[in-house]
Amino acid sequence: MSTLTLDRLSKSFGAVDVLHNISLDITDGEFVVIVGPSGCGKSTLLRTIAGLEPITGGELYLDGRPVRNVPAAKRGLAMVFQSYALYPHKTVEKNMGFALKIAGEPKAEIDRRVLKAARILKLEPLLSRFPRELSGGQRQRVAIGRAIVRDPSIFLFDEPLSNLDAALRAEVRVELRQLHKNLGATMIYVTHDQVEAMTLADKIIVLKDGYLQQVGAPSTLYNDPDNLFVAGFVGSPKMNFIPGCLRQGTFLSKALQTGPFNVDMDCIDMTVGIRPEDISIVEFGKGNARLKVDVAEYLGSQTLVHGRLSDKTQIIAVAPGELKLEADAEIDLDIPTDKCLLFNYEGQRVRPDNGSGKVERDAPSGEKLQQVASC
Amino acid sequence: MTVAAVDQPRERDYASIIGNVFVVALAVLAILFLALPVVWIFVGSFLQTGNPISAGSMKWTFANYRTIIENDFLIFIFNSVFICIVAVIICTALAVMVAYAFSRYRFPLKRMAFASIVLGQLFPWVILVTPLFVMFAKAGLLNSYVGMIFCYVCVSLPFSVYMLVGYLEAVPRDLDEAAAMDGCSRVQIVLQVVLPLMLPGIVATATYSFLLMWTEYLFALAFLTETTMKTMPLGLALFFGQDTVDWGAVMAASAATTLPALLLFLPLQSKLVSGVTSGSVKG
Repeated sequence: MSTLTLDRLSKSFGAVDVLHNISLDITDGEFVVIVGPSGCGKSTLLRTIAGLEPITGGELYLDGRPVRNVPAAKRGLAMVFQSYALYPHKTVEKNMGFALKIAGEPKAEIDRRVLKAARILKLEPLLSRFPRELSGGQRQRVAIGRAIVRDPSIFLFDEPLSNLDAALRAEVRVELRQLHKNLGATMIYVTHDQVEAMTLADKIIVLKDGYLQQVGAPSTLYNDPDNLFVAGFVGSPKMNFIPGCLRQGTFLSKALQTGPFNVDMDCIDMTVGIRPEDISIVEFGKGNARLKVDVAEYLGSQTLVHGRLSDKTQIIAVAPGELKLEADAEIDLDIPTDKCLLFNYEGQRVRPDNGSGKVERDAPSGEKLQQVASC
Repeated sequence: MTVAAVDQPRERDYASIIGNVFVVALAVLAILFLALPVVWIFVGSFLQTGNPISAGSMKWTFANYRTIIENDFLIFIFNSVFICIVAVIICTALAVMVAYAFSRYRFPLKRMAFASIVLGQLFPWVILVTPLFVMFAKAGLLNSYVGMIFCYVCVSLPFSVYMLVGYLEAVPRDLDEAAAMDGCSRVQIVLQVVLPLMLPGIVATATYSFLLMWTEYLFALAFLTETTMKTMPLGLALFFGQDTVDWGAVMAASAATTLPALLLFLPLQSKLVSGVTSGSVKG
């Protein structure tokens, strides 16, 4: 049970900067998921928190205490590795009790705590087995058990489910969530799977190329992303992006005209983002965009319609139930303005102007204005 | 159709029988090649002539063993056992530490240091004899256990390190890190997690260096001149006289030198099985 603060933490391997000025607050009992594509530095971030990698710059506070120079063994954190990293020469019981043995706990106390953790994870019948005699899912449980036994201040998970098959993954995911509820401990969890992130997290941290993209609750990231990357990363199927320009509050592109947006700026390079589930398929001639269908994927409760707008932009729309569509069929879509998100040429979100704050404006160079006018 | 269907498997049966016979014959031949000299030595050591196929009498006797015992061979064996065991323990302990450093730490000139360890073995031992002799003579290390142990540790260390680095690379680093997270100090990581896992490698390496030292002749010949300090290979050579060879004694001495090595390493053989690390991390 504790809090963790990252203050402008950075990490480089030689000349390669992996993490750039990451500042974060993780409060007691939170389930935090660090998510991002492979190579974004998420595992490195977790390993610096664990103390397995020294940090290059900034500071790390555990319960307000700087721990930059505290070795992993002394930080009191527990980690579940992607590879499980069970000691192959020790039984499940010894694996789980090892940390307590090293800490010099009496045998009776070790037995009691191992048994308690084994009961939580339904590992009791396996206690005398060796890791090689266990299935992947069981090993995963033992690895989690090894962490629970220690009653750590913070649990760290490094993609713990990536080696399990899809069905088991969904099952363990629910169990992890349950476990978090029961233990009430702070958990930091790394994954590249946005579904895991959405389902598990109280708070999601999105990383890309070592830069913090956005931190927030799953619903915040889904409904109110800060930039194109977060918008595209969170949610499945992915958000649709339609390039165009914004002129006097109206979004214009070859394929779509929608507005008004309460945004006081003109911009020649603007992108509209719209989630597939917000697009509805309407009677021909009544929509604001026309889609040429490529494929319709029937998933049971819904159909994913893949297609292209007249400007070749790839679009996915979700239709409820079964929808039979031929390839190259043309259908009309209703893309509601109030569900559209605007992103500027840098990929940053442009939020509607409520009159409260100042709106970012592009530098009004003559050339640009002309382009806007002709757009 | 049916005929062919019946015939075909039969042909295959013959082929597989011939194949099996061939494989068994090859195995028997290989075993004969490996075992015959050993059998020859053991049988010969109990014969007066020392030669199992000699025309002379085939009388069984312990006389050969009496001869070698009277000729201080027990002392030679003790010297060999003592020097080799101490040297193997020191060499393996050092090699484990060096190999761990090479496998787990990043330090400047690491690749060069490792290359020099491998390259160091390219020099034939014979060119080391003279300089070492001069050094040992100045340091008073001739005819001493310390000198021989030092010498043997030095010559078997490089290859031991090389072998152990290979074994250590097979122990996943995740395990080191898991142990660190479990609160282990560096020493505890090595002793409690890494060592048990590389035990087969350590046994293999120790076996290698033991056999290297056990049969070493060149350095022993140069540095051990007093009879009471001599090791077993030198003792064995004593039975080759200027003009005559006491084959019976040679056979008995050879048999006697094989036994300690055999007794030491038979029980360790089971440790040499691989696959101890299976199940630790997902492959």
